[in-house]
Amino acid sequence: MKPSRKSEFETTVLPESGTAPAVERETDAHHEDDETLVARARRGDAKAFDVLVGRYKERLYATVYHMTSNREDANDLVQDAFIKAYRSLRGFKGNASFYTWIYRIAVNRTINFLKRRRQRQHFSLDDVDNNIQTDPDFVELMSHDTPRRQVGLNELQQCLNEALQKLSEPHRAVVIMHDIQGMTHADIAKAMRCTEGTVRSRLFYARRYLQALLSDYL
Amino acid sequence: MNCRKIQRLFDELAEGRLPEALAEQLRRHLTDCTDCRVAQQRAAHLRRLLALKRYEQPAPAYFSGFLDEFHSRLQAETASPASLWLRLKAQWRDFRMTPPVWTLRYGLVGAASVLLVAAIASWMIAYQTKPMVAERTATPVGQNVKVSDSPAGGSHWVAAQNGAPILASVARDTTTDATTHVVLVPAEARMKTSAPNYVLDHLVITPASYDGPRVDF
Repeated sequence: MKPSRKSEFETTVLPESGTAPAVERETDAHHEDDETLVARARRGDAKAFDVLVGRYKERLYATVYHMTSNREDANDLVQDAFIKAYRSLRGFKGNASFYTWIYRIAVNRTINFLKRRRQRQHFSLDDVDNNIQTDPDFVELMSHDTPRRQVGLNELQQCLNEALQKLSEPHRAVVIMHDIQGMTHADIAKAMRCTEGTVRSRLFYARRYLQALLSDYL
Repeated sequence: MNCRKIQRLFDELAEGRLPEALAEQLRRHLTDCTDCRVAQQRAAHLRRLLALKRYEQPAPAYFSGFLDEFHSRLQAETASPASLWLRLKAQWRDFRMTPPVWTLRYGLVGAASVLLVAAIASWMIAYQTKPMVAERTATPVGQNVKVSDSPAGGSHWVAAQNGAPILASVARDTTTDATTHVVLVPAEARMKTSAPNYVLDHLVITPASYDGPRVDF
């Protein structure tokens, strides 16, 4: 999940003139690693930050979307996170990778947003990709002898989102990062600024609660 | 290791991130413990069910205008910067998750309540108890301490042996050979001008004798 700090595409040959033409530089920017792009963005190169936005917007959106179950809110929050990161770029020490840093900003903003929004819950869900029909887990779920085996795709999607929204924000974040995004405990701990033990504990209790809520599908 | 601890290690076991000895211990436990085995199966099912949410995706063109929107919002925010207070608040929110003060709010409110009650109680006790008069005087060793009603003067009362004042502290200055007494005298004690009468003074006590008539049984 975490991008490599040193991109395999990074070129080591510098142009003889010392500065590459603008178009060439822009193309190369897509192959540069995060550290270089951050350094360039700090010096005022807005294009370098655009590359970082393009690199991580979808992954951040996915996490925020699963936490909010609302695509408009998710889009706003990811935009906010990038704006915040851009304005705080000078304060970025580089102790963690840029992705961990921006991820932390996005998750924190989402958690705070959800705390304020608690009274108003409105789902605005993304469409489910048709490829789900061929997913072995989905096929098994549908063929499994459960009370809800005739469940429709939309109903399943609704149930999953409702169940997740019943978790507290930190528990939901951990479940999404681990079980949906596939992040490791260590990466989650870094993003949430807590210990791996806390991550394990939150996962344990969140899953226990989800198992009760989704017992018809298990 | 109990079942609860073992159930928290299912992820590591599934991902092969446990030391071999511990993994072996867990596998042995799972063969013996039906509860843990069922819990493991249910956890695996749940993970696979939740993983289906990955198929919820925005339309392909959803992010086409993302960068333009980002730039326009950034420009708008730069044009009208937020106040210092709002910026500090936002900074706090972003990088500190939730303020620790907020997470400890119940504890802090409880502690503040206890302190408030203690302060009120101590004030009430101090208000209701008899006022004490304290005076610091330096007197040569062996002399009594003079206690006055007020610093301005008025009636004086010598805290002799009869008055039985409460001696709070005594400090001796070796250079002047003087002893400093801090004397606390109850208010009603100051009203007394004569030596107190003790109840036992009025009793005629005959010493008891244990040399009684001998009784033989």
